[in-house]
Amino acid sequence: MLISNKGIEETAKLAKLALSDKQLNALGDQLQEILEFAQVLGDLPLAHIQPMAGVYRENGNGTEDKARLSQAQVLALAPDSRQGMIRVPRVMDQC
Amino acid sequence: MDYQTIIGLEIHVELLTDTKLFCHCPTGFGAKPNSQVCPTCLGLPGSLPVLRPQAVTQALRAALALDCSINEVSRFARKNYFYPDLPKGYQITQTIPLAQDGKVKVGEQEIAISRLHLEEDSGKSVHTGDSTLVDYNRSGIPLAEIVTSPCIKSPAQAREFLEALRQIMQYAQVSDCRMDQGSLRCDANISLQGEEPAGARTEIKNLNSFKAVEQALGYEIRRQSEILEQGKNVKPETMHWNEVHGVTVPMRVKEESPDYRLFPDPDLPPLVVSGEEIQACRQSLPELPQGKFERFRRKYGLPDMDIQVLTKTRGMADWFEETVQAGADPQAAANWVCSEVTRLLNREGRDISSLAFTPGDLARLIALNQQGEISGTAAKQVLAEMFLGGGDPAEIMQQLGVAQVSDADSLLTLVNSVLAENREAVSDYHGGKKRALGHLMGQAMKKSQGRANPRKLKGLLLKELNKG
Amino acid sequence: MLNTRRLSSRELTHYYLERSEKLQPKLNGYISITQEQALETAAQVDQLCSQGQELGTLAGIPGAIKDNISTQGVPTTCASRVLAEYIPPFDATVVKKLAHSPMLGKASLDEFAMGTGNLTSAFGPVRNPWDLERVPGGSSGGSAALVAAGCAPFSLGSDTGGSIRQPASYCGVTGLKPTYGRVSRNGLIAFASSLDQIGPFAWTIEDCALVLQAICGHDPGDATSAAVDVPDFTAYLHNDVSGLRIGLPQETFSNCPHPDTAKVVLRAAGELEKAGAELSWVSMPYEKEVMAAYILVATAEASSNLARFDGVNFGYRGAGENLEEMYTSSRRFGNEVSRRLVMGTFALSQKQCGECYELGQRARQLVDSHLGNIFQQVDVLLLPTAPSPAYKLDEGQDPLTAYYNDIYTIPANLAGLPAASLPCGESEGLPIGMQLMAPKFREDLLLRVGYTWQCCSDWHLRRPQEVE
Repeated sequence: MLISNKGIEETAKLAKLALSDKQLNALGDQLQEILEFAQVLGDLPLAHIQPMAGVYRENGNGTEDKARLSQAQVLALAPDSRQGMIRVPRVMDQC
Repeated sequence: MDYQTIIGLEIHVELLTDTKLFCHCPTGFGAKPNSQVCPTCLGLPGSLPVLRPQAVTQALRAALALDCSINEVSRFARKNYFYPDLPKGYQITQTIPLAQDGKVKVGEQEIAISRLHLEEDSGKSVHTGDSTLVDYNRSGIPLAEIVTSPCIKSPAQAREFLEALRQIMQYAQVSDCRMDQGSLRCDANISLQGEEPAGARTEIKNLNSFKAVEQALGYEIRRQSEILEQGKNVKPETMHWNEVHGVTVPMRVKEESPDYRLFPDPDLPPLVVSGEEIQACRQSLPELPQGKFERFRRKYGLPDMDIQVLTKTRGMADWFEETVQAGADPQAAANWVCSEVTRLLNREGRDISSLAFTPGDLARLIALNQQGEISGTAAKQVLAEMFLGGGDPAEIMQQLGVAQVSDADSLLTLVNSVLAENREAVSDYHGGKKRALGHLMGQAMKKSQGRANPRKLKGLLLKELNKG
Repeated sequence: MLNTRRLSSRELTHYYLERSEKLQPKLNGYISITQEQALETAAQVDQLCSQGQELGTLAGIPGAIKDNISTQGVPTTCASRVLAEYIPPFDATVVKKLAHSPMLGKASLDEFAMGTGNLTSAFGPVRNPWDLERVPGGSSGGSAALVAAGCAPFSLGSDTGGSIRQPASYCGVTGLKPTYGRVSRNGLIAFASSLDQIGPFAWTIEDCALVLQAICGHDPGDATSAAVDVPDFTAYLHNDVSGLRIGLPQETFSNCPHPDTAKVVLRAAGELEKAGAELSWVSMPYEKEVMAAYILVATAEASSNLARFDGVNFGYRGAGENLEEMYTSSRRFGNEVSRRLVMGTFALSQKQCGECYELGQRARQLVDSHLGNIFQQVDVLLLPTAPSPAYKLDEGQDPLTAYYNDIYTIPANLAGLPAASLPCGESEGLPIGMQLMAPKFREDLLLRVGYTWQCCSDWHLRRPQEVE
């Protein structure tokens, strides 16, 4: 199965990345590679194997640092704010 | 052409907890913007989520209250999409849910709940002019997402279901479920089925009250019917409910359904709940509305309508029972609580827990009335005083000077003076006009400023009249 | 070396700062040098020591910290334009644990830790002190080079697919990746959450043990942090491997593209055999599968972890008339990062790739089981760290070749096992490292074998002439 240009563009859009034509072209090969890797794994006898849920162990019940931030700190990090809130260009998909 | 209505609801309920779901930030309402945040709920790089146990307990209690079966192992997952109030660029939700297969009785029908799972809330966006402003105080607040199976058959039933759900959640103290405060949010799905298999489903958003849910669904039924009548197909789209105009409007069409790329969150281990934990949560639940209703029926023999009012909130039901325990007659207590007490509370928009007087106080007032110490009207006056500032009914009765006059001597004096002042009525009575009694009663009540015990007064009046 | 205290912290720190400043133009190992802060800490520690306070072993010993580890009040850039001016409001847990070690500066890395040559930093490549025309390895190239050049006695790096071990090998220093969960990831800006671990660089395994001691420990603020005791790592520094079973992966040695590498590492194994260890060949055939599982899991997790860099509430915000434009102009990653993000987004998309991520996670389990079986027969694995020594800066590798640089190191990340790289030889003046792998939480074995090796060899004592 070959990756279409449309597929690549859609994926880049999903990741909110603006890519040059050169980058998009190169990506075709890379995404193809992903599919091939999946193919390689698909050939393994994995049916009865559980996905690795993570290398967890029993967790203790320690107390964590309470890392509260003040409004001033939040606004200091933000590129643009107004009335104590973070400001971005208006979201368009609501009526 | 008759169409069958198929409705499903997707509800988000804010759980009552001290802290957010994955961090220690407080959850209180009304703080100044972006002041109840930390690196985790702000999604700062390097921050990590750590599950807070209280949210799990509350979600379990909600699930058990809805008669769900609990999955001992469930999984947190990331739902990836970009939105300004979603700081990490993904929401932590669950793929394998905490609970499923519950039910809520609505009238005679049981509405099936297909799943209940835990997820974190996003921040709050305000759209104004050319900007969207974001407050992250709400980001990370624990939500229970409750999804019904598409088995609701009418807009009215949808509304009844939401009312029943809210009642259960409030009883269990799991959530306030206030749509006006955003602690309950609801999207509705609806499709119509005629002779053909079910038409396409539309989803309705921007429903801000139970009434809106009912109205919007009603509108959709009409809209979809018209389309189907014309032999066309209903488009499976997302509709926005316009409250002002009372119509649903297609939302600006994004691409097809969004690709959320859900995958198990590698920062969080599987959520494991033990049998003991589940049992403890079950035991912590109070008697729920359905159970209470049936018990009240059996124990107090009250009419259903009264029971419905009494059990509307747990607070009121408990209050009523305490009044009965303090010695009041159940029907009398029910009457007083359902009418006068409720009226006073509604007038002020207050909750029964804020009353300045106790169930014991009400029981005593009821007793005074039933023993003839105070008339019904006067009792209402006393209640109003108690409502304002508490106090003992007997004392208030004295203070207001509304104690019913029942002693024979005072009444006799009153009767004699009335008979003396109303010679014409007396002769009318003796002349056969029985209605004159009513006039004499009226005069006596007026003279006593309504305080004469009517029953005793009447008896005495008759006695004196018949003397001669 | 770190254990002796003949100098004050201020003197020691001053020395390293001076050298760091001097070599910075040649090496470009730092993103920022934090002179003031380092001297302040040094002064504080000297003060406390003079007051007779008992401080940790590392107190007063300065170090460099990879710039993907959050440092409060100090820019943490991940070598990216996206975070060029980001100043974290909190310290990573490991930074808190090293509060008494003066921080010389933030060490350079490949952008967002994605790379094998430290060529993708937005602030310019880092150079290998042994040959300034060659790469130091990646992604923790800065951390490795700074130790190799004598600019810092120790440094912290992070390892997701080999990013500590491979640069350690290229730079002729010792680097250690702990068992997944030993060291808190709280504050580490995530690349692949289920693979990332923070670990030390130093000349000797002994010094690595000291740093490891300081940074290990269960952190309730990291749900993937293991609740295991931290032993006294220095107690394992024995010159004794008698009876220890060392496994040599057959396929790795026979397929190694660089003959000197295989030769040199085998020779080292031979020395350990003379010292009493039992060598045997084991089979580790799953090369393709290992690569596939790693690429799918790492890129998928990265694509989700880097979604938070959207210019909304921190970091760089690009111009944009609308939100969509703002997003894409803000996410100005370098080519390598962009590539991996698209790959990862693709891998997570059910529509595009089916169950890719899950396949990757299952394959990991297979690798883990296989390694588990091997560790029934042997105590540690010994193999080359990298297929070859450091390559030239302008060698321009195609991405797949670049991936294969990590082929020997990836299995330890997939299975969460502890692994270290120790200098063990050279080829044409370039260092070659040998890798030791042990079962989960068996850092003791790495330390024991490593220490024995360094007692009977002197590769860790050699110094690059280029920077003298």
